Amino acid sequence: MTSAIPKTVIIIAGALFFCSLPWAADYFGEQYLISLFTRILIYSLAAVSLDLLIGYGGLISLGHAAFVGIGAYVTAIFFHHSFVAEPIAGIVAGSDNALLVWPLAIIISAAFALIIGSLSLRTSGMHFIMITLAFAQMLYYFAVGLEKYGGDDGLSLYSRNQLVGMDLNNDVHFYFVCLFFLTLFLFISHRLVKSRFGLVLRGAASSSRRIKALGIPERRYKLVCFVIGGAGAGLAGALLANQTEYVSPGLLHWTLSGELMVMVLLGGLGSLFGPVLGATAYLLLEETLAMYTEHWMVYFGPILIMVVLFAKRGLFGFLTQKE
Amino acid sequence: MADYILQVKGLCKSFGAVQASQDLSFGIQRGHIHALIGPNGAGKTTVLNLLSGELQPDSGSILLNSEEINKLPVHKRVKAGLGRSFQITSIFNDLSVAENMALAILAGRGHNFRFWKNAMAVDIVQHTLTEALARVDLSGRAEQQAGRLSHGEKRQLEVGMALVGGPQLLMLDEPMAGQGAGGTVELQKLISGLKGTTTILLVEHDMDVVFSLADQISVIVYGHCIASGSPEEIRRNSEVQNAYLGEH
Ligand SMILES: Nc1ncnc2c1ncn2[C@@H]1O[C@H](COP(=O)(O)OP(=O)(O)OP(=O)(O)O)[C@@H](O)[C@H]1O
Ligand SMILES: [Mg+2]
Repeated sequence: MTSAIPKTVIIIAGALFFCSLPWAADYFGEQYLISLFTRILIYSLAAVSLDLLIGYGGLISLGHAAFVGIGAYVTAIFFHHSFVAEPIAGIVAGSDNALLVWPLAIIISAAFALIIGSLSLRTSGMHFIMITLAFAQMLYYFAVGLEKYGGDDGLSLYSRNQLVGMDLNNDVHFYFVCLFFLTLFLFISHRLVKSRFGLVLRGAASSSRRIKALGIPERRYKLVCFVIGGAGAGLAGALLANQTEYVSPGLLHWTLSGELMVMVLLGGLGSLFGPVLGATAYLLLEETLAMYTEHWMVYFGPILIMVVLFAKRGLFGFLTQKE
Repeated sequence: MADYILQVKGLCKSFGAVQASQDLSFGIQRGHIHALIGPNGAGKTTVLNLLSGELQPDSGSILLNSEEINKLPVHKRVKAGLGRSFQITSIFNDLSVAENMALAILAGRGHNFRFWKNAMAVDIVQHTLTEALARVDLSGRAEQQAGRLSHGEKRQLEVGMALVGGPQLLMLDEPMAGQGAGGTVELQKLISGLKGTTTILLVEHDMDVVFSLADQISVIVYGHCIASGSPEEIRRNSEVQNAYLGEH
């Protein structure tokens, strides 16, 4: 291959693109692009958090949507209780304050990741995939059974959360809030994978035998990785609930986990920025193909297979490869 | 009385019908290079796996510095002073050579739950990485992905990684296998340079290497330790001659 593009060039181009998008959308009078790209930012955040697990921790989780769903439900349930002015379980007051609810969404998702992770990490390989899937599906059916919060039908928020100095109901404001959190999470993740913790994690994913022979108990490092990934997904869930002003059990379904995994693979495993590219490509393709046919998956499948076959390190790897 | 760093008493391990270790007993003196030799499938690697904790013995005990370590998991035995290289090279193929070595350097120094600072910029890495790579002749390869090294270089890296943690007892499983003549000489120099400071349990097929390096040799055949002694004693031992050395 000839034309390798330096990583920094792609990242700067991406940053410029995302920063200028609202103005471009305004200029061309295509306001719907703002909400489409807000969705892209949020899915990117979820995909990056999954990349930490799969691409760096070697943890192939097929239950990542569970944490997106938990983050979304926490947000929606707090909103609901604040709206009807009735404390949650009769004890905790509801809230629509982003500065309170979003950290809670993150913490509760992380706590679930801690529990699910500590049980799942007793296994590895195929068993790990199955057990993460099983936990996520359990939570999915639990959400379906939440009659109080709409069960199958889900739960509507009547407005977005309150954030000081911002009007989240303004799509442009909300877009930039999402862009801020994606950027922040990317920056944190970037530091993380290069740190001592990240080095141990990448080592454990590469050779579990050698990491043990160096005297490192790998499981606790993987668990922390799983929790950080869960926290990121929880934040994505809180943002998603705000964007659509609606949550449903579908957010915890394994199909969302699968979609996130496809975004990671499409963009490039273990590259952090790749999954952003992957989520963007995935959602844009979906949007475009769906305009022409409702059977868009028929066309989408082969495109995916081509990318995975011909660009083994995903779109990001394809653009930056050196050989 | 001899100062034993490691003592093995009545160690037994079988895989189904295969008795890989049968009532093995031997001791390794501090500071010695102790060689473990025997034909293919004799049970040498099994001994190392039992010592390192990858395998649990059916019976018998393992004493490191007179303390039983049978129950300890692999990583705790490493903390207690055991280091090893594997017969099938085991390094971090996906990481660069420098990262491999840095990880080995950092492994033994406190916990690694440090999330912010670049691992390669940690003081101890900055201070020791260059020398650690030079010791195993890999200075020029620092930025290369470890999986792309030649077979011999991977071996050097693995031995270097096992060494950098400063183990009390270093177990090497056929470090010379797959090395070219040059590599063998280099490794031999490296190992003999450790004499006196690091105790070494060396599994090796190359008899020239064994007889020139070892202070003590134990011979294993079909899971039995048939002889244990100085190179001279082993060379003269008729049972060893018949069972093993004669074939070579
Ligand atoms: N995990 C295992 N499961 C079943 N059998 C095993 C296992 N590991 C070793 N064995 C058997 O135990 C015996 C001893 O094997 P071991 O690998 O210890 O021999 P070795 O002396 O290291 O041989 P080599 O010189 O070929 O490396 C062999 O018969 C081998 O097939
Ligand atoms: Mg062997």
